[in-house]
Amino acid sequence: MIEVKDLMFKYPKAKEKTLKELNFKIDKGEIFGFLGPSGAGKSTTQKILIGILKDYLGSVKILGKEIINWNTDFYEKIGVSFELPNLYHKLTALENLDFVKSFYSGKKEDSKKLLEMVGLEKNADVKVSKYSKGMKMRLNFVRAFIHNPDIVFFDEPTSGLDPLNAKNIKNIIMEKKHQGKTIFLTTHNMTVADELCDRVAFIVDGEIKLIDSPKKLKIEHGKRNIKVEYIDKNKFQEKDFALKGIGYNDEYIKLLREKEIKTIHTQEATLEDIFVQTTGRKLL
Amino acid sequence: MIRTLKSIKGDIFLQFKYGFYLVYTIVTIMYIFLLNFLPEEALIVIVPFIIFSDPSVLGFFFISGLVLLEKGEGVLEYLIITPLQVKEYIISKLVSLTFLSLITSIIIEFFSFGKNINYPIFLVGITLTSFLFILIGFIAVSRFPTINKYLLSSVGYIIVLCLPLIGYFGIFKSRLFYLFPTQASLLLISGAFKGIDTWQLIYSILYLLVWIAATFKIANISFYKYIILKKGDN
Repeated sequence: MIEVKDLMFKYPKAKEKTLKELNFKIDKGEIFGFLGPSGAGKSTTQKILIGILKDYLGSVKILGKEIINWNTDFYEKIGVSFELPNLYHKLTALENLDFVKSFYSGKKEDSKKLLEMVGLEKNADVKVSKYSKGMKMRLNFVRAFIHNPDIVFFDEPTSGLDPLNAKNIKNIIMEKKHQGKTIFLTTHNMTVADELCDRVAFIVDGEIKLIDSPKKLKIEHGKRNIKVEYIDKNKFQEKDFALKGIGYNDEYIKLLREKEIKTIHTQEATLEDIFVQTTGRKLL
Repeated sequence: MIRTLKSIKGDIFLQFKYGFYLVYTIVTIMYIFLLNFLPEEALIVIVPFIIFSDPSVLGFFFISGLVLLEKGEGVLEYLIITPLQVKEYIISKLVSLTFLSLITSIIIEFFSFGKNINYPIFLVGITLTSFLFILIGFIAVSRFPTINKYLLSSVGYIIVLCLPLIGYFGIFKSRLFYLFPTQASLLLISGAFKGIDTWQLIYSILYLLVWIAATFKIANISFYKYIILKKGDN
């Protein structure tokens, strides 16, 4: 669906290239996470992929066609939800959706159903200026689906949302993936990326340092240890054991039998740990 | 074409919601009220002037207001990633605001002057003047993110564009005024009231069309440069 080869980009007055030879490929039905700290080149990459910046070097093919060769039909195929909500404040939620819907020609979603998906159906006829930040975010999110696009770009889709609504947004993204939509997710929230993405790319200083699935990364970069927390002499204690041959580790088995165990965890690395390990950078 | 029509419909709806129609109803009533106090011989000079100022002020400042509102709300950033093309966006603004201009101008003329005038020239004059000012207003506002920064430069544009009024009111006559597209506007609009020479009619329409074509092109470029690439916003 998306194929990027040797993508380079330099802003006219900048000294250095913002993007240095990016290469990646995203398949249909995949959720691809683009992770990196601010200023890493995430937004520039997204701007190229959604056809705003055209003076790039290298090749960017979307749905098999080089992006500069697409006409405005391109926007019938992709949906975008920006990080900051961009809505008509004087219009109601329903009017906002219907207004932009009129620009599309293909099969379109029912505006009311979209509002239901994000729990805004009761506020459908309320002016957006009266909406809270979270409500605006949800409307902004769901608008990306209005024309039933094949590829959807999300920039920090859960930022500013309470846990319940954030969970709902994540469920919708998963549901859309199962319907065959391809999703490009830009974020610096590692938990969201871990939960949703089939693969993630770590981008720092305009370079992709690594692309892999979160699960595989966590196993590869984990310590292959088990940490046991237990009570001994009325005190919390902890001990690490190698996962290899754990069933024959007498000390471990003895501990399980004789002490009051509080927790047992395998020591997988978090995506955040792996990011710091591979890039030498913190995310924020 | 269908997309442009839908956008025009949407724009008129938005302008209604933003209160443009309300503001203009009040302004129109005020104009009619004030013009009623003028003696008839003054009307032939003042009414064309009011009618000229109407599409120009409406066009210039309302397009600026709209673009700044859309920038402030971020919707311009969103419109870029819909199938709506830049030229369709601009045409939609031209048609929707000119529609409002035509309605108010006809109402003002009808209730103040009220006599038979040359309506085809009148309507062509207002339409072309409105297009010109909307396009120049768009070019003027596109580079500015907020109203404060924009206002100062807008005064400059308006002063230059309104220079031919000096000739219109007979303060100072010069052929140089024919270089200004607004001279053509004034000739057409006042010509609808008191007649116009054929050469002036041809000059006015052609000269305005040339200006409209050029400013339409520049407006498209400005949109790309200042709104899509966001140069100048920072």
